[in-house]
Formats: sequence, structure tokens, C-alpha cells
Amino acid sequence: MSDFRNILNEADGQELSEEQLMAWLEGRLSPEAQHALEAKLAADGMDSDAMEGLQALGAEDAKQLQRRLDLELNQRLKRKKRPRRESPQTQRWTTIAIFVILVLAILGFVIIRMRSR
Amino acid sequence: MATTRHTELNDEQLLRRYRESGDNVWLGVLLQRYTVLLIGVAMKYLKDKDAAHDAVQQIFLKSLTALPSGEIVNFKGWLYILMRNHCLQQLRDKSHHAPEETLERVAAAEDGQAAQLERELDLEGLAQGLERIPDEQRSCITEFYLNRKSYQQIMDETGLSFAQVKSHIQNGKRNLRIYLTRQQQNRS
Repeated sequence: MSDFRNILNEADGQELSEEQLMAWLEGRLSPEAQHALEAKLAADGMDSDAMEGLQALGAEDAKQLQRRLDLELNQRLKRKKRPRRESPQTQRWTTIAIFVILVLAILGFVIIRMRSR
Repeated sequence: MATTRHTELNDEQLLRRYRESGDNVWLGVLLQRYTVLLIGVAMKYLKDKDAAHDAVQQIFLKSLTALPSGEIVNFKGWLYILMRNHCLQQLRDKSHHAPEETLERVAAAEDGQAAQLERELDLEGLAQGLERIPDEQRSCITEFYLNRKSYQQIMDETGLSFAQVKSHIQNGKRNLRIYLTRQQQNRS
């Protein structure tokens, strides 16, 4: 009779790991382990939706898509991370330009002071 | 080179490291934990591999560029809502002509989540209820819960598809709940 209770009780809240999911998808689980995992399917939620979608997709396509998406994500993260670096030559010219501007400003100030006397 | 998975850190810890360091790599590790689940959710709603790929890419992009600044207590739940809303939007757009059934099933699932009623479990009522639901729903529920068979075993025995078995079990459970609720209302 206790099995009747299982009908309306929700599956345990244990998180579904990627390894378990792929093992289930690839048919590597025993029937008992499959049953335990599939108890999540009757509940609503991400695990249930994902299992249904993955079952339709198949293990090989799922793995291929996962590899592709993870690679694309890593490439995007590298692009975001790389800071823009100025070349040493650009930095040198920037320093020279600042120095020249300062010198000109000081000279201008001195000339104006001299003329005003 | 494969990214280190940092399995010793939970989602909250990874998020905290990302926020403290500003280094996207931590967010990348966190997102990759859910790539397979996101693919599955997208496939369920969009039913197309390329559309599912694009959907997951979009969710990754949204996560990288528009992560809420407040606390995210349940990152997995947040990702799920993000993906589901994205898929529903895709289905509503003119470019996806989803059959009505898809949207109805989604609406039914949302209703099912809306309330988990607490009730005293009436085993006798449950047994009676089983007799009143459609044959295929009764058969699938009996084989799965009482005989503890796997979906594959039920599919092999009945010739039903995976989606049909899942649907019969979900609908059967819903009908049982409705029956039990009515029985309780009649008694009170």
C-alpha cells in the first residue's frame, strides 16, 4: 500500500547531476536506477522538462551540442576578458605628447607674464 | 584545454566569487553546469536542435550581460525561468508556428505548479480513483509506481512513446488529485 503513496508524493528534491543525466540518456543505468531518476519526470520543473527534451534529442546529439555551446561560451569569455593593451610605442608617444603640451603651457604662461609687466 | 569545473564550490559560492572578482570565468563555470539541462528544456519547447542551440546561446549571453545585481537564491531556478520564458516568446513569435497543444501543455504545467495542496492521503480513495481514470493513464501509473518499472520497460511493453508515457502519468496524477479533492469536498 505504501507504493500508492508514491503516486501523489513528489520525487525527492535531490539534484540531478549531469553525469546521472547522461548515464540515463545513454541507457547505462539499471532499470531500478532508471526508475528512481524517472520519478522526477512526473514532477514539473527543470529536470522534468530537460529529461523530456533530451530524450527526444538523443545522447549523441546532446553531447555534441553541449561541447559546441561550452566551447562558444569559453571563446566569448576569453574575448571579454582580454584587456586592450596599448603598444609600448603608443605609450611612448602619449608621454611625449603630454610633456610637449605641458612645456608649451608653461612657456605660454611665462610669455604672457613677461608682456604684462 | 578543458575548463576546471570547481565541483567543490556550490552555485552560491561561484556567484560570490564572480561578483567579488568581476572575473567572468566564474560565471562561465557556473553556466556550464547547466548546459545540458538548458539544452533539454529548449528542445522540449522548441523541438528543433538548431533552435535549441540558439536559445541556449541567448540565455548564456543574457546571463553574462544582464545578471541581476541582487541576490539570486536559486540560480538553477532562475536559469530555468529565463529559458522557459525565452522559449515561450519564441513560440509566440510568428516565426515559430507551434501547435496549440504545445502552448496548452505549457499552460497546464504552469497551473500545476501554482499550488501544491496539502491533504490527508486517502489510500482507499486513491485505489478507487485509479479505477476511474482512463485505461492508459491507469496502466502507466500502475506499471511505474506500483510495479516500479522504468519508462523504457513500459514503452517496450505497451508500444507507447516516451512522451506518451510521461503524458499519461502526469495526466493520470492530475486526474487522481481532482478525484480525491472532489471526494473530500463531498464528505465535508
